[in-house]
Amino acid sequence: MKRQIWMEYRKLWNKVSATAVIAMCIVAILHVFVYLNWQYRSIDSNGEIVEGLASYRALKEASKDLEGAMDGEYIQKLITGYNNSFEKEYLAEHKGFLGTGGMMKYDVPNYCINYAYFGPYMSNGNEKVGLDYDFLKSENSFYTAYKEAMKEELAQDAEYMYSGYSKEQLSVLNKKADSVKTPFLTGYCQGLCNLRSWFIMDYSLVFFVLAFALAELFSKNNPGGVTELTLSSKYGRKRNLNARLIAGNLFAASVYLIYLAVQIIINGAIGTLDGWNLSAQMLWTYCLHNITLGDGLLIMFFGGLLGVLVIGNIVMLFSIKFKNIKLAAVFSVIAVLLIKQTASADGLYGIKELLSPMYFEDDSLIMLYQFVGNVAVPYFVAVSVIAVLYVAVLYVGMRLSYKKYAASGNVLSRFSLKASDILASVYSGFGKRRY
Amino acid sequence: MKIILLECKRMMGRMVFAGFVAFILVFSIYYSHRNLVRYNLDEQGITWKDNLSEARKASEGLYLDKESMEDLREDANRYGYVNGENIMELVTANYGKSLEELSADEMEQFFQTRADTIHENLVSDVNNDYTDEEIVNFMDKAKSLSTLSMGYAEGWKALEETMGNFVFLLVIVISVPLLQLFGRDPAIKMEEMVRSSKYGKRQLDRARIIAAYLTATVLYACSMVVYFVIIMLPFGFDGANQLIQSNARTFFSLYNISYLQQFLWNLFRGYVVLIFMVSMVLMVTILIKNILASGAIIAIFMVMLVIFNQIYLYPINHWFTNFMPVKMTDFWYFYTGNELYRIFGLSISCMSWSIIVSLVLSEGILVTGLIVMHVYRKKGLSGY
Repeated sequence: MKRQIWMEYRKLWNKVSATAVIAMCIVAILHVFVYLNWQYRSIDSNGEIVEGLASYRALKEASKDLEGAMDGEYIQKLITGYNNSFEKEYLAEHKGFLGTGGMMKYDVPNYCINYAYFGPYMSNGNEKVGLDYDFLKSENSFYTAYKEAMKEELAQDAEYMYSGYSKEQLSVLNKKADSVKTPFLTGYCQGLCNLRSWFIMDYSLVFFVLAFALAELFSKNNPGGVTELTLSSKYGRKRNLNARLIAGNLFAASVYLIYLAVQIIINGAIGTLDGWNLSAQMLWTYCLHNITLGDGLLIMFFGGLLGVLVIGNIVMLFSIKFKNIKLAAVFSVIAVLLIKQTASADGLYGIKELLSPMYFEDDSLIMLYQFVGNVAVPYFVAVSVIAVLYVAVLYVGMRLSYKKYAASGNVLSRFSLKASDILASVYSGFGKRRY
Repeated sequence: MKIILLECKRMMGRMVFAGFVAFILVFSIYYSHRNLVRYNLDEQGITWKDNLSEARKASEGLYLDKESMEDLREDANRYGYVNGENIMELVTANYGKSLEELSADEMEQFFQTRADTIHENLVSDVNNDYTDEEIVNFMDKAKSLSTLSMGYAEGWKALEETMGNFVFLLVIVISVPLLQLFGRDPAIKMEEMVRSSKYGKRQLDRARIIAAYLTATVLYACSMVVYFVIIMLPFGFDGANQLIQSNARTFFSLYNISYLQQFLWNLFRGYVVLIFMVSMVLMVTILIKNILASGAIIAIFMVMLVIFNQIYLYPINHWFTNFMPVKMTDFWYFYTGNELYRIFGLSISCMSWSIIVSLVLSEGILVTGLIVMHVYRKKGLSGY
């Protein structure tokens, strides 16, 4: 069986898949390099503006003295430091600096503090980095205000989410907010922020690669597909289906891991991967889990893998249903486009994050909850269950089709070797014949 | 000629053609429906039909001036729901506040305020960094609009609303069958036989290239006729001569053109995008040969353009995406963006320059494909 899986897996690495994977990697690398180079600039430790890719290293260097636990002493030191800083003066003169790709070492701790004030209305910008708040007088009052802001945001979710949270459910979440571990650990994490953003933005590239590469797996009209010989052999039916299916899933996972590796290497090389151990709240402001930023990203990466496996199985189902590589590829691309379109569906907040594979790698995995009675199930658990269900249903669909799979029939003449093909070739070959 | 026709036929088999027709009808009807439901007033029990017929009657001789604004303030239904909403939208776009909050002087100065806003936007635009001369030219156009007819033109507005998305999808769908021209299906071993025949080299290549552009042109023209008719029929064809500034989305546009002119511009822009896509498909299939691998490259290239469009970054936009299909079919941008290119001391609008560059790129891509084919043939590679 292992050997059979290996052979099927190797067959999937052909010209089509190699071309698509190379194109995916080039686009992902280009996207990160071009935008990180042209969009961002930072204030370094000497008060100079550094532009382009060097700005991340400069920011990391400058941020060193702001790393640590955000306790009372840290907050007072931060207020004194910021109020006497070059950065504060610079922001006063350059109003749009932070909103237009500008970065400074105070971004992470100051945004965290401002979240306690602005709550759901928090955003990036010069006007949301000030430290002139009464609740900063003590560590306790700051974290009380922060947790109140979290609760406000949860209440907003309860209102806007499709299924919402009932009062009892909200109180369960509020209790979780109260038990969030403080003080938060802060520091430089821009490289990881970039990694998160670009990982989400370019994620759909993997879907398109799978739509083309896996379309041939069960096709009749392709050398790598199913032939009469395959079906008539001893292990051709059941075992071969499983071997192809496992190989298809392994291939989907491999493509995803290549994509992930590209993102990690490129973002790591530009902005470094420092900050894995910081509190998750530095990135996901109302995260109720006591996890680190690195844990949060691993959850997103795992969700991404689930989404990719679901899409891979959808493509394989199309392949086995149509038995034609071109039709399967076209319908898979349409399916991927429709799934991608869920991003613009209005009024489905909470539902699309749970059901659409396009969102299986999203921040919602960490921020949202699905309730079973009054038990809060984090979205990353709920999404895992949904993904397993999807794959199981798709597997049943494929199994049913494969049982009735017939390699003979008129598929070639129906889809590929059309009469017009022959006419065109013969005409161009012999010119003066009439039909 | 017969080879061309046979190649066209090979591309557009019955099933492909049926799928294409289904796509055109489904999307045209979907967009038409989406446009129409916006005119249903469910709470008041008014259907789009009643709403539009009332708007048509009430808009006769209607101009956006102090008188109409005062009338509307006294009675919100004075000119019917649709016309009233249209005027309110323009007022909000111009002043950033509602009609009730306007003073008599502000109403009087409506077009002056519009010109001032445009001037302010031009001066504060750091990306384009307009020269004084360019600003003067823009302001001449801005000031030349001193009166605005608010006659019925809902059909044209609906047409422009969804045309960008439709053209983008259409161009992609038309490109799919073209992959078969130079792309090879590994299951069909006909290529060697075809290439070894009398007319199987240069004549066949020429025929295939002509067939690609011919088929794409015919499909594009027919699809746009179907789209035009399906969208416009429920609304009626009135308002072709109204200025596009009567639509809130193009209120600040410096192109003082009618809806019909806007439609023709968009139609032409869409055709340029189509030419670019056809050239690209030909070049990629000549280079890669395999249909699916070529399809994958084109799909990922299009996804890249969509991803690049998510974040506005001026240099990328200015030097790359403005000439590419995704941005080129974002028609609204070209009427309101006011982006300029300085070429040999001349200031050329993005509207014209993007078309010129896109056509030059199409030509360049096709020539590259032909050169590759020529080299392959000279070296006796790959059956060319």
